[in-house]
Amino acid sequence: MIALLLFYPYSGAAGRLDEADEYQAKTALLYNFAKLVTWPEDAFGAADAPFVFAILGSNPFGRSMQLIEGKRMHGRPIEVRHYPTVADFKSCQVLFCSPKDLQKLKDQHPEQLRQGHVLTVGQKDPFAHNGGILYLTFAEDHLAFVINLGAARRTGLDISASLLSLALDVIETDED
Amino acid sequence: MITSLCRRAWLFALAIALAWPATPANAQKPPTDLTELNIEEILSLRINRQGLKRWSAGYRFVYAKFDGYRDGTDNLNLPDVLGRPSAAAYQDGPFDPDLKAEIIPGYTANTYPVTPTVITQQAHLFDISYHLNKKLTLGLLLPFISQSSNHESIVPNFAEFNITSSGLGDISVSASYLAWQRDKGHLVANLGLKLPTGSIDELGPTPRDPNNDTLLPYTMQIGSGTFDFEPSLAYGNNSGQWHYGARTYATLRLGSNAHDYTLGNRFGLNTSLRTDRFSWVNPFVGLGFQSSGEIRGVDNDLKVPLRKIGSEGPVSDENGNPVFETTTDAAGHTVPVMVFPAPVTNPALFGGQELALSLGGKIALREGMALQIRYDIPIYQDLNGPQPKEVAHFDLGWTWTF
Repeated sequence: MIALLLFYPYSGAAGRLDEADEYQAKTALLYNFAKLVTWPEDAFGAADAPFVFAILGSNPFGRSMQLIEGKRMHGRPIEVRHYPTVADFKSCQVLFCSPKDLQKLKDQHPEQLRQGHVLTVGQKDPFAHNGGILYLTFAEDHLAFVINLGAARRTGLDISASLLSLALDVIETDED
Repeated sequence: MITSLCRRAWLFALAIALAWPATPANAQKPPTDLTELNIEEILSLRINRQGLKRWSAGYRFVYAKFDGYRDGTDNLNLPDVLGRPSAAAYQDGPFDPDLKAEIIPGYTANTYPVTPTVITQQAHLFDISYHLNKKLTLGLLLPFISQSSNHESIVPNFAEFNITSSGLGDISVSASYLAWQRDKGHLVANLGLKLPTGSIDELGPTPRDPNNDTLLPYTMQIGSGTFDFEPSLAYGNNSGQWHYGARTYATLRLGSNAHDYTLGNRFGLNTSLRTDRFSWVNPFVGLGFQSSGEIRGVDNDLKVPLRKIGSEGPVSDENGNPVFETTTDAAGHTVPVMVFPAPVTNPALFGGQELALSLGGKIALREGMALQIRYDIPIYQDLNGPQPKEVAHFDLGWTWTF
């Protein structure tokens, strides 16, 4: 009887071709976000500088980000970096971090965030309300996102109308 | 004893088997490189939110202290509960509290020759959960219980004594289901089954037999001895930086245990309000109400046979079985009188209603790992007494999702 219970089949996932891994889908979403955002040319420093996706702090993506490494974004090769702590932070174009680390960054590297034109992305409430630009969330079983348009403008990023039209919500906070 | 151990081993194996997840070996995965999809296609994908985190593990340390007594909503002190009649009062006639009140001024139905003074309970709870999918989660909980109780009594050589018990408690298996979810609110239904793996045979030194260990009272046993059904329903709502929720639960005892008694059923409602306004800690406040019933049945090993205190031993019949004093109730039934030496051996003196205020905080240690501290302050206790009253309840928990 015990053996029967141990190997009792689990039918929940069988045949669910439309069910995607959360962080593989989020990686693809970040990749597509970047396509629909325009960075000022001075965001890259050099003509041959890579387009950098970075994760600050713990990395919930696992190895999913490797899927975009080596692809090209806005004519530049994509590079994926991991900064374990705020002290390790260097320039990047897209930064995934927690609200707590975002606050530390704003305290410790305020100019680097703005002048570096960093698109900040987070998935913990209240990321967008605390000055983050893109907040990843869920609507039922599907990914959704909220854009803080005010924060994007202050960072010098131009977000396309088509991206705004797909957002669950677009907010405009006055200050970071 | 061997039979009891075998039974517990079987129940332990059953618990693990019930909670063990089956491997979704034939689950089909979508293509792993989703970057070729456009945003609309990605947003239309159904997401497996536990894709990387199917397991949760946790540890909780719970400490509770009981000091003093409560009868209804009245506080009682030791002199109100510990009976101090002279030895002569025990020597003749039925042990009828009303009759004794005439013989011994100050003696009441609430006084007992033995009573606990301070009881402490510690529980180490280890749990592991497996998320079968985003709606269904299976769980297994292993409790290790440790208890200590100081007593005072009027029995010679037992004026003050301490009894302890410890061991594996009742293992729980559970299944929880995300029954409803909207943008901010969700409802989770949980069905749990507690298995009688905890001992109800704990022995220790008590005044009932100065020369041998005897069965400890209900409070000092580790388990319920019965299969217990534990349904619960929880609602949660996340509104920006504020989270509030309520959970109603029940513990329903199924049948009687091997000692012919059943602990009281329990019903409760917890509410909580938590904020994420602070970066390093999420403080919360809550109210918890619980109602529990008295014990049904009686453990005959906890009764005191007819005896003459201070002289002869228990009175036995011709077959050596102990003889209990009896009387006849209004319905004409023969019932025992004054067979309980202590309030914690009287099945009628269990249960009641309690309301507590909870204060605490949740601290995120790192992604998927959190520490939670909670302190409960009893603010209302209406107990079937005299019954030891709870004065402190502390809960420290650690959870890890991976």
